[in-house]
Amino acid sequence: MMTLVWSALTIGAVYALVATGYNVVFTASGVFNFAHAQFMMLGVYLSYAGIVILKWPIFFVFVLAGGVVFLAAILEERIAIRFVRVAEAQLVTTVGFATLINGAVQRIWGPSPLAVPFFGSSQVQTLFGGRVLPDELVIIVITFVIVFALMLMSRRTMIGLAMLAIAENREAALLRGINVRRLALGAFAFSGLLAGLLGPILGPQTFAGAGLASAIALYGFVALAIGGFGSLPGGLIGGFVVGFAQEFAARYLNSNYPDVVVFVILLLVLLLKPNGLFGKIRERVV
Amino acid sequence: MTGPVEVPVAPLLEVRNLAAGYGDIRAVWDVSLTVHPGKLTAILGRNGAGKTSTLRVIAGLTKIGGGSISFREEDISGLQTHRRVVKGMALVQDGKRVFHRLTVEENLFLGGYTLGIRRRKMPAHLTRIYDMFPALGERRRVVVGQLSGGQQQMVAIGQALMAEPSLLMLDEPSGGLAPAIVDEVMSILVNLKKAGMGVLLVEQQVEAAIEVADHVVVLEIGRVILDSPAREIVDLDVLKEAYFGKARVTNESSDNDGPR
Repeated sequence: MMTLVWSALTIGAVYALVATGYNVVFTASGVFNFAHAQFMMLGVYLSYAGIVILKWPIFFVFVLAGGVVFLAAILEERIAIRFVRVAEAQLVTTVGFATLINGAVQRIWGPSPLAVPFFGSSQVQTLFGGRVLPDELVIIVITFVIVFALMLMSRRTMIGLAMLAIAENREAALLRGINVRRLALGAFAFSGLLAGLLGPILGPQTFAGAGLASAIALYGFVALAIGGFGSLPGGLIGGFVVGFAQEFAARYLNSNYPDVVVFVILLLVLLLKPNGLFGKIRERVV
Repeated sequence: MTGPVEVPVAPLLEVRNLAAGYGDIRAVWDVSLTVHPGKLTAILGRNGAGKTSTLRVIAGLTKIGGGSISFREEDISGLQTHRRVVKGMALVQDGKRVFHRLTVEENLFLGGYTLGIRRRKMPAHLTRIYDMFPALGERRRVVVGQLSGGQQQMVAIGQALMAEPSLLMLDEPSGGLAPAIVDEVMSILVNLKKAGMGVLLVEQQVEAAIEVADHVVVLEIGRVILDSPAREIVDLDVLKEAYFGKARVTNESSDNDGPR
């Protein structure tokens, strides 16, 4: 039972990380970056390349994955966002960029899933009566650390406040001297860096596979819808809700049920709280 | 050169033949105005006269279509909005456009965004604003959306003043406020003038505006139809004539190409 909780927490954490990536960019720039899951997948593939093919020390693997995805995110902002002014069109261009990464990854590393070895111990631990792998624990802890750090940053630092300001009223933010475009680029770059750095940590659990991005994109999106767009704690809780629903449905119902249960929960949440559990109504000043 | 002799000072803001918008949605046709340090210029005019649009172009929110804007003797027509703010320009938009989901203090912090990373200076600036608006000091941790309209307007003005601008522009700060609060806002503007700030005020409340103004500009369909020192408008009827009588004349004689 507790073993199931650990694996639900792990998979939920992965979805929460995707949702958090969406949130960071969405808050600062109003763009829903469909390519974020692809960023995370790219980070995992680069970790595979660094650890298995290049046999680099782990520190350099982190630098490689973080650096390349950081640059990919800047590239995306430059070619798929900056010159596309209409929000609806930006949805399409970010999907385009996501497709580009999907294609590039398959072209370079082939279609079959690749195992990424964990850089730490792979000794199974028993914790609170459940069996858990060290890499699973690392994923869970890192997710909490990232989300809480971002929550603190968003209210305690000038950059965080500026991002909230932009999310609420872009023009009013400009009038306070905030360089809105630069912050949007910064948010993209930061989300890319984060996605890349997570590669070596997520890889052992997720594997480097062609279907990885679309799977975590879908459930990350559901997590966000459940938790509420733009809400950091919402993304965290939403991720865990999806993780638990999937794992428990698969175990106690039948392996065909996880998706049904996840989407029933999503529908219920949207029916009762259309803005998600932690969502605020987005007022638009025209 | 001693004594209170009026030395001609270089204007803080000089707008020449400003135009903006295209075709039928052209809102500003030809507006020229000046704001001097320590003086208040009021822009008056009916709804749709181009007052708000003029402020937007000066702040860089709307693209300039013609003419020039110089601020502290520097042409800023091509600068992005946030750069103009850094240079010392502040606009308080109408409708209390503050950040409703953030607290009073967070709003003021954002007002000091251009002060840079030296947040050590921030408390002094906050104190300055709280001294000016004691009501805000008592509510620093309150989310702005929960404040009254008058208090929200104070947040909006306080936020703009955090950055210590040399030019403060306000778009109908009295909009929807009780008369007592309008008086308070106006007396704050007078104090800011005394401190050397230049103020550009767009107002619907003509009498309140003329009381605090040094110079008055009346707009009609995006053009200046009256440009006069405030003290020469002793009789409000003169102004009303400009508003309604003369405006109509100007309309018929030269605005055939303007929007209906």
